[in-house]
Formats: sequence, structure tokens, C-alpha cells
Amino acid sequence: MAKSEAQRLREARRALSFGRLQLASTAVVAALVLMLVAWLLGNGGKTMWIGTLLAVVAAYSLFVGRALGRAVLPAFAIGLIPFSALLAIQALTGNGCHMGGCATLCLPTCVLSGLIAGGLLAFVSIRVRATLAFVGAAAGMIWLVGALGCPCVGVSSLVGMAAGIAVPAGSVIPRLLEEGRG
Amino acid sequence: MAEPFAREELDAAMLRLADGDRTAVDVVYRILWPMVVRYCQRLVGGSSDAEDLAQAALIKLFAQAHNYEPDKRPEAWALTIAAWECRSYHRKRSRMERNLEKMQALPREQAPDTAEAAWKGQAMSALEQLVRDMSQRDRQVLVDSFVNELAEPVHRKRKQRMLSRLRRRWKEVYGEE
Repeated sequence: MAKSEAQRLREARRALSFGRLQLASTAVVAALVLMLVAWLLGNGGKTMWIGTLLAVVAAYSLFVGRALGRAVLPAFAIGLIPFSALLAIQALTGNGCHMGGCATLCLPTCVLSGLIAGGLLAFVSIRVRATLAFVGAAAGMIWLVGALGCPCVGVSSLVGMAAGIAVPAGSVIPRLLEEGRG
Repeated sequence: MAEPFAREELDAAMLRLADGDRTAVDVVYRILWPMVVRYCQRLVGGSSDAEDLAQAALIKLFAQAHNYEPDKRPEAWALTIAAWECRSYHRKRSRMERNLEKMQALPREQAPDTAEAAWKGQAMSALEQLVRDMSQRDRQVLVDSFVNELAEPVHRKRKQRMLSRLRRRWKEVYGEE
């Protein structure tokens, strides 16, 4: 029996969602790879929670698409800056936050790498004529990717990195609102 | 090919679709559907399977919509997928016809020269006619079940549905089980 147009459209919508799910699974793989790297370099238990949250947020963003979906790739790319900077600190100062070197370097590295990442996000947001949703989603994912690499994940480091990202990234918000891209 | 007025609309809708905008599904579908159906009808000789093939092609296009690049022409992409679907259809059909011939040859070699054999021959040609009228999907299920002997649960379910449709059709045409 021939299908009705409504039936065929329903199938088309289902196919689109299935394709978006496949796309979302690539974000899960990327988050798992970062999680594995962080775990192999000695960042334990908290890595799993942050990695899982990152996988969920990134997969959801890609599934939903539009501004959220467009934010995923730049967020992962920019997030690698705090991620690798913090892993480098860990490698230089030895494993574990109980060591003085790690504790003293961790917070400034979190803030500084967050500032650099936030600045890059602001630059990208202006270049791609982003919306507020893009900036917000990308900032959140950059923070999660960065936190994955943090050997001394504590409230102060995470807040420091968030502030580092938020200051330059937030500076583009008035401009976006002015251009009607809220 | 797309009408000039639809071209820009199609390109824009396809970009939105690639971006994940679900509201673009209707626009893309309504522009591409008639074009792809006509193309499939040309390739499979106006058969009723053309709509199924066009639908299969569009479903593949929607599932891959996120890979769309703006320099690609959406209608060319859809027709390429449709051409592929039609080619697969022709391949499956000719394979199935070969298998049908094999199935046909079997009872004739073994049939004894009796009235029962004559009745069986008639029933067999009636059945062959029904099989020819089946949809492409049902014919594939028939071949998978009885020639390729696939027996996974999913195939068993499809086989069951295909046989019940075949029985129903037999009853409609010949009026008895």
C-alpha cells in the first residue's frame, strides 16, 4: 500500500534525527578520548564525572544542532588549550596535588589558560557572527574540556578557570546584543 | 531539475537542515520528492516501486544531511542517491528472478505425471504471478527466507508478515487458501 505524505514526512524526520544521533556519537567518542588521556596521565575519579558531563552536553548540542551544534567543534578545539596546559603543569610538577608545586601553579594556570581560551572564543564569536547561545554553549564546553585536564580539580581552580573564560567571552555579549544576535 | 524559483529556497533549506533545523524538513522534502519520484520512475520503468525507491533515497539524504556542503547541489545529491537505489533495485530484481527460475525448475523435475502434478503446476504459476506483483521489499524477504535461508528473529518476523500479505492477496485473487 502506498504511504501517505504525512507518513513519508514522518520517516524523513526520523531519518534526520537518526543522522543527528550518529553525529552526536562523535562528540561522545571525542569526550571519551580526552577522558582516557586525562585518566592515563593520572587524573582520577573526578575525571569520569566531568568527562561524562562533557559527553552529554556535547552530544545533546550536536543532536539539537543550530547554534548549540555549531559551538561543539570550536569548543573542543579551544578547550584543548587549558586541557593541555594543565596536563603540562602536572607533568612538570609531578603527579598529585599534595605536592606544593602543583598546588601553587594550578590556580594561576587555570585562570591564565581560561583567559586565553575565553579570548579565542570571543575572537571566533565575532568572526562567525555567533549568537548568545553559541557563546554560552561553547564557553561551558571549553570549561569542561579544561577541567578534564586539571590535576587539582578543586572549587577554586574551576571557579578561576570559569572566570578566566567568562571575562573575555562575556565582553562580546554587548556587541552581540547590539547587532541583534541575542 | 529544480525549478529556478525553488533552487534558492532549496539551497537555503538544505543549509538549515544541515545545521539541524527540523523545520526545514518539509521544505526540502516537498521540493525534492516530485523530482526524485520522476527520476526513479524513469529508471525503473514507471513501476509502483518507484515511490518506495524515491522514499529510500530521500531517507538516506536526510540521515546524511549534516554532511551537506554548500557547494554541493542538493538535487544532484538526491538524484545520485536515487540512481544508486535504482541500480540496487535492478540488481536485486535480476538476482531474484534468477532464484525464482531455480525454484520453478525444482518441482518440474520432480513432479510425477498425474492430475495432482497438473494442479500443482497451475498453483505454482498462479503463485509466481503473485510473487511478481509483490513489492520489492517483500520479494527480497522471500528470497532471504527461502533461498538465502536467513533465520534471525528480525527475518522471521518479516517473513511472517510477508507470508500473511501473500495469503491475503491469494485469497483476494483466487478466493481460497
